[in-house]
Amino acid sequence: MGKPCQTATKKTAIDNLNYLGESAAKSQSSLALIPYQQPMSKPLLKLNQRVFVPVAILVAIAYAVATASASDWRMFRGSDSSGVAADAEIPTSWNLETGENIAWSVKMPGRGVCGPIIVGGKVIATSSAGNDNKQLHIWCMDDASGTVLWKRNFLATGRSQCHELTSMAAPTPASDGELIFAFFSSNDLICLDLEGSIRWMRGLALEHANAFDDRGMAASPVVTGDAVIVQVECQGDSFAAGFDKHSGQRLWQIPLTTTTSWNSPAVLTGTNGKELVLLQSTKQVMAIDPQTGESQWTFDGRSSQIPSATVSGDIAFVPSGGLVAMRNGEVLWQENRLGPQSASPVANDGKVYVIRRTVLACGNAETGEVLWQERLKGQQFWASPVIAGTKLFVVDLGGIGQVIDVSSKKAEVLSENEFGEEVLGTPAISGNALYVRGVTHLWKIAN
Amino acid sequence: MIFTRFIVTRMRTVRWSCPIALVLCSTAILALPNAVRAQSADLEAALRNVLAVEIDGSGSAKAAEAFSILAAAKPSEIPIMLSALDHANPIAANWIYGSIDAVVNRAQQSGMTLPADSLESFVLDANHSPRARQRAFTLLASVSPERSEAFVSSFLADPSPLFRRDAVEKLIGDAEAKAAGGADESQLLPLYYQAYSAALAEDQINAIAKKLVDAGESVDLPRKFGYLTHWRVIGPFDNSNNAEFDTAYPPEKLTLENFEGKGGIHSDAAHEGKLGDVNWKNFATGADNGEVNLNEALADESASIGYGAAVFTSDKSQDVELRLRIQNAFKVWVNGELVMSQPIGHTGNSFDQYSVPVQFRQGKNLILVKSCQIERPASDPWFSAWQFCVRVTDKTGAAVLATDRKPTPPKTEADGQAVSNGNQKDGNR
Repeated sequence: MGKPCQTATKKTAIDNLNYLGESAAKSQSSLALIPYQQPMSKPLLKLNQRVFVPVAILVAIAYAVATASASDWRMFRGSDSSGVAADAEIPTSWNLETGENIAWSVKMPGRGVCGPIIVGGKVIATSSAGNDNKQLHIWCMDDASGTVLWKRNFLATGRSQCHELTSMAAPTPASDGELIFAFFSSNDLICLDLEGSIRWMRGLALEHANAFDDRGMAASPVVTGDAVIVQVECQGDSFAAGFDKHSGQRLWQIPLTTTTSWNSPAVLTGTNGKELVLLQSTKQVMAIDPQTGESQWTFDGRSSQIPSATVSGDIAFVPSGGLVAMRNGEVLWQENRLGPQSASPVANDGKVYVIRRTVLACGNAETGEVLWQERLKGQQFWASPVIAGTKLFVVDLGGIGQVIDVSSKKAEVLSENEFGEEVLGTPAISGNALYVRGVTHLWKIAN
Repeated sequence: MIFTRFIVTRMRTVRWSCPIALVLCSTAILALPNAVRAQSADLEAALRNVLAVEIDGSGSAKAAEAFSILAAAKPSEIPIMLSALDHANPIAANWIYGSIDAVVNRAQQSGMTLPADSLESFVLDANHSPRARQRAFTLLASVSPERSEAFVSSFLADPSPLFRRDAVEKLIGDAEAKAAGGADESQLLPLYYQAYSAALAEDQINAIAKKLVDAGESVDLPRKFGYLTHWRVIGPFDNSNNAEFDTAYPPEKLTLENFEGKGGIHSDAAHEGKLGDVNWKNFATGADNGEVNLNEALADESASIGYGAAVFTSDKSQDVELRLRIQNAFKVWVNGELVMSQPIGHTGNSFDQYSVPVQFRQGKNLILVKSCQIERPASDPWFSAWQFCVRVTDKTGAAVLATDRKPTPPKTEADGQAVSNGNQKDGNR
């Protein structure tokens, strides 16, 4: 383990903040208080207020939706499963001790190895705590200030054993922009709105007693259309299921192979513009209709159990026999030397990047030709790389964050930045900020 | 306020169940002013809707409507919501947890205080469910850490393992503080023994045991945990292609009635095994974690099935729990009845990984374990494991010992570094 984390000193540091602490309270946005305000009775409203207030609210909502959707990072590796924010300009270095480019940090209870999501100016992160890992936490922070807006603490309804490296909070939450779908290794699926109100919840372990792996489960959910999709693949009762995002009712369920895997579904746009969901198992890759679960196409081939398929445009990069690039189920190329180990690949601007042990390799996305390789600092990489503009960001298990310029024919490591604790969750990008989830802390890195 | 006190008072003496609680609520509401009555009735109805949520999630729509009412409750009404946890199913309980969190959020954001007196009363009332008391304790600790700290020592014998853990932790802390202050062993050992006696959590028991051993004391960890140490084992039987999980090899016909008779556990009758004829044979473990290593006891053989049988003599008919740590797919029978079947193996290896409630009869009880080793990859230590550990406990996890429990065997080299040496000195602590 690394040295204890130093929190920011120059900007608002809110470690251990208990809801609205002194510093945070000053910057608390009024938005957070909306659900708690007493409704104003109609007779008290004057005529101009009757007209102005609803219009103002509509304008505010429209503005919020417009701006939020542009910069949201709503799922594992972003809203489009790509791990790329093409226009983002993120600082190329930061320093936790001096606070350089640390906008804020929050310390969460227990341990979390998932990434955060950013939705409508709010940052959502999960963790699990307690001697038996049964305490499931969902926290919502104000993106601008880091102020904790609300916390919800549930109790795992399924098995909560896991390897010490991981946590019940291994799956990254997902959102459609209005609802949050938090999934945990215990197979608890919890839907809340952005104000923290519960909409529905399912304890899938109560319905599938043999759907578990005591080393921990990790597949993140995806949401597309009206369906939120979970993949529960293990040696026992393996399945994928779609749930109506509004009601939590099961739309469909299909069996999966009874071999453990920890990879996550990805959202892919099909030829007709319709969104599909890629399910990657040890025997095949399957593109399904998210509303019905019906298979649209399959690719038979033994896929990796840990790194997940990545989507870039209409090409899916699947860790299978190295790395396979496919369009609509048709293989474009396969390259053994581009097989990722644990972190998922990321592709942008005609190139695909993978981490093999401690080597970052770059391939031509159209041909699979290996273009260059660069040894990274660090020993093990669980967090998947993400790309902002022409910069690739990686964090190793030990918490060394590296910024790599990938704009030329060779990688250039721009900086190495210590987080001081283990990092397994894939970073998120929103606006011009990078969000990194250590096992206990969440940092926002921005100018 | 009157309503709250009324309900809380009733909740302390009458465990929550929907009919009783609703009658109490309705009676109290009739005596209240109209505005307060309406508000309280809303809370009651909201709780009823949340408690009606099924474990498959049905009823969520009504519960979601109820959430907004519960989230708007006064902090003084938190104990009522906590009481509803007593008989809530796991999904309904999570709705209530979330509702309470929303109330606490709002209270803290608006400077309202939580009802420390009511929370303390709730925590101290052992009639409430452990999960409800634990949540009340967490809330109390957040509003008044010194107040919660003040009575944590009283939890050393609490039926909730979670409270017991806090009390043991405090006792260990007290001992360490005394040690840092120069106290000698004669002052420290009573504290450590008190903590050892009360502890239920594996990590705490092992940590205290190490303190005692370092001080020259002897501890018997298998006995403390209640591990079954004396077994008769048989195998290997074939498990090629991992296909024989449901194959009933002859040992599965073993029952308490025939285990000592002809063809039973103590006979010389041989059965056809994977590598030739096999017989039941004795195996005793001195390992701190009670492990029966079948690679050692039977054969280091891939794709195999082995059985272990143990007899537990109970002084009375009683409800107990069998708690297992087992890395392989397994089945367990008690007195000939299948009580647990787990086809998944090599997914974990943790303390009390599985538990199953069973009823022991007075006298002898036969426990039979089937452990299935897969076609394992060569030289992979994770997949090489073929073992099981079984302990008998009450519902809190405290050991239940057989009346004729044999002394823990000495540890072998394979059992690992000695923490205990089988000395029975502390057996009744």
